[in-house]
Amino acid sequence: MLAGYRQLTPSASSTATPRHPDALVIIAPSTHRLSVSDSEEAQLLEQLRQGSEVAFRTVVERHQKRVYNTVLALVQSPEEAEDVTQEVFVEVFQTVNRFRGDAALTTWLYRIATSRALNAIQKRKAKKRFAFLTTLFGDDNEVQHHPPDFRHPGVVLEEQERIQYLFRAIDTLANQQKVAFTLRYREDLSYQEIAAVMETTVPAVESLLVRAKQALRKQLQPYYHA
Amino acid sequence: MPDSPFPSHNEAFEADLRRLRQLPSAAPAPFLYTRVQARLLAASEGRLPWWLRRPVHLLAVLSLLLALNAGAVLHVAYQRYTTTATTATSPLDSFASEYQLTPYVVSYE
Repeated sequence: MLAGYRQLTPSASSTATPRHPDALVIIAPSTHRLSVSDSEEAQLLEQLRQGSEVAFRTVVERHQKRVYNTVLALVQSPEEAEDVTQEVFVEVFQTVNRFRGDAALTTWLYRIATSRALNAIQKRKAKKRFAFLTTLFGDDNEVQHHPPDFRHPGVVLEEQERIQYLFRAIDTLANQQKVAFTLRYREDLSYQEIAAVMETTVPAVESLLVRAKQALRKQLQPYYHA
Repeated sequence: MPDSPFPSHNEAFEADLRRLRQLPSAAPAPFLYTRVQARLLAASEGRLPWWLRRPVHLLAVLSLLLALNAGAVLHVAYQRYTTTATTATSPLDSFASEYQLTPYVVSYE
C-alpha cells in the first residue's frame, strides 16, 4: 500500500473517528480525507493526461471498489453496477484532459459514478415504461425489464429481508436524496465531501439528508409495525 | 421532537442505518481493468467509420483512391495532348478563331 494512503471503508473511518451518525465533521481542506496525497495524485493525473496506461491501471485498481460500491448502492443490481463501473473508468480516461483538478480525484470519480448510476436508473425506468410493448411480442406475459429484489452481496442471511426492505425504500427516494443518502450512509462521506461531489452547499446536503430520512421512516413504518 | 410517535420505531430505524453503514463493501468481478481496456478499445473503434475498422478495408480504400487519382491524371494528360495536336497551327489562326474572325477574300481587279 502506498505511503499516506488511507483506505476509506465505512468501518475503518468509523473506528478512527467515532461520532454521532449525523454529526457535522469539519475537515480542512474539505476533500483532503479522500485523497491519497496531493503530490502523488497530481503526478498520477499528469501521467493519466499523457495517456499513461500504468497510471490508468493504478487509478482503476485503487478506486474500483469505491466506485463499484457507490454504483451498486444506487442501481441495486450487481450486473448493472459492474457495467456502470466500467463506463465510469472509460469516461475517466476519455475526459481526464477536461478535468481541471479543482476537486480531488476521488471527488471527481464519485461525481462521474453517481451521475452514470442515475443515468442507468433513468434508462431502466424508460425501458420499463416500454416493457408493455415488448411483452406484446414476447413468449410469456411477464414484464421483462423488472429487476429482481436486490440482495447486497455483503448481507448475512438473517438480515437479508430487513436490508432488502431498506434498499427497496431507498430506491423510492428522489435522485438527489438517494445520492446524498448513499454517500453518507454507505460511503461514510462528510457533509462537505458530499457537497463537493454533488456541487452544492452543505446546508443543501443537510436538507437532502433530513428529507431522505423522513421519507425512509415513512416508507418503513409498516415494516416496523408488523 | 421525535420523528415517529413510536420511540421503538426510531430506535429500529437508527439500528437499520447503523446496519447499512456496517455492511461490508462488495467487490467487482476480478479483472475489471481488462474489461475496461476492452471497452475503451471498442469505444475508440466506434469513432471510426466501418470501412476503416479493419486494415484490409483501409488498404482497399487507399488503393481505390490511388487508382482514381492516377486515372484522373492520365485522362487530363491525354486530353491536353490531343487538344494541342489538333488546334491552331499558327498564332494568327488561333487569334482569328478566338475572336471568330472569318477571313474573306476580296476580289481584286
